[in-house]
Amino acid sequence: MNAGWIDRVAQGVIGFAADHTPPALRARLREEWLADLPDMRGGWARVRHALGCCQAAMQIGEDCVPEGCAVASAALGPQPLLAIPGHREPLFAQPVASDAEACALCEINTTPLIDILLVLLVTLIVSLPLMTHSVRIALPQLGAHATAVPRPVIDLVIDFDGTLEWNGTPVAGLSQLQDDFRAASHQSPQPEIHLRPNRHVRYDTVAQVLAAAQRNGVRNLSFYNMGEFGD
Amino acid sequence: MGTDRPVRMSLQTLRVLEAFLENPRGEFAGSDLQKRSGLASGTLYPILLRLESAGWFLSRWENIDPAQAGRPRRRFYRLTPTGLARATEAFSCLSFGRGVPA
Repeated sequence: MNAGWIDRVAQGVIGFAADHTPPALRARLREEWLADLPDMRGGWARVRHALGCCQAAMQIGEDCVPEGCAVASAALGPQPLLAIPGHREPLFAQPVASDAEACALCEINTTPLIDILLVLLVTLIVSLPLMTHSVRIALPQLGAHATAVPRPVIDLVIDFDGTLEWNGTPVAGLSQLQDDFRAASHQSPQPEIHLRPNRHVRYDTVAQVLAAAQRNGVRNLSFYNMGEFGD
Repeated sequence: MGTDRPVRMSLQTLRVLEAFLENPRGEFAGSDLQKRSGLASGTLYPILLRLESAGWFLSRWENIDPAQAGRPRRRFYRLTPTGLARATEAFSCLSFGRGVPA
C-alpha cells in the first residue's frame, strides 16, 4: 500500500479525533497524537493509532466534567466525575466492599474489539470499490452470420414385406433405390435419410438398403422408428 | 496539576504504571508507552490524561522547534513523587494479594 496515502488518511483521522476533544485540550492532543504517529511502524499500525485516537477522543469527552475537562481545569479545582466524594481510600474511585477488593478494578477492555471493528469497517470501505470495479474490454464482434439452412429430409420406409417408399413414393426395386441414393448424395447439402424399417421386415432387406446407401455415397442416414423395437 | 485526585485503577492503568516503574525517573512519549504497555492509543491517552489530572504524572513538550525539526513536538510524561508513591502502593497491594485482578 502507498505509505504516503496512509499517512494522509491517518493524519486526517487524528485531526478529526482531536476536533472532537474538549477545546482546552484540542491543540495539545492534536500535536501530541500527530507527533506519535511516525513512531508507529507500518501503515496499518498508523491507521490503528489514528482510529485509537478517535476512541480516545470519545473517552476523554466522557471523562470531562461539564464545566471543562478535568485535566484542563485541574488548576481551578472542579470535582472530576472520577472522584467518589467521601471515599476513605482516595486511590480507588469505585465503592468497594472490603480491602481485598480495593486495589484493582477489573473491567473488560473493549479497546481491541472496537479497534478490530473499525479496521474491518475501513477495510470494507476500501475494498468495496475494488469488488465493484469492472474492466472494459472490447471483445471482437462476430463478422459473419451463421447460415441456418435446413437440411432436406427423405423418409425411407421399409414395410414388413420388403417394399420400399421414398418420401411416400413406392420404389420399384433395389436398382431404383440405388439411383435415388446416388441422386441424393450429389445434392448439396446432402439430405438426411430417415430410415423407418418395419419391425417384421427381414434383416436381410434392411442390410441391403444400408449397403446400397453406403455404396452410393450417402453420409447422413439414421434409423427413426426404433421405439417399436424396444420390447 | 499536582492535585491528588482519586484514580480509577484498572488493569490497563496498572500496565501504564508498570511501564513507568521500570524506569521511574524516565520520560516517555505516548508512542513509547504504547510499546512498553502494549496498550492501544484509544486506551492509553485517556489513562495518561486521568493520571496527569490526578497529579501522578507531569507532562512537558519536547524541547525542539517543530519547524526546524520538520515534525510536531512530542509530549513527554514522567512520574511525580506522588505518582511514584501511589503506583508503588498499588503494586504492593497486588503483591500482598489484597486485590488480585481477575
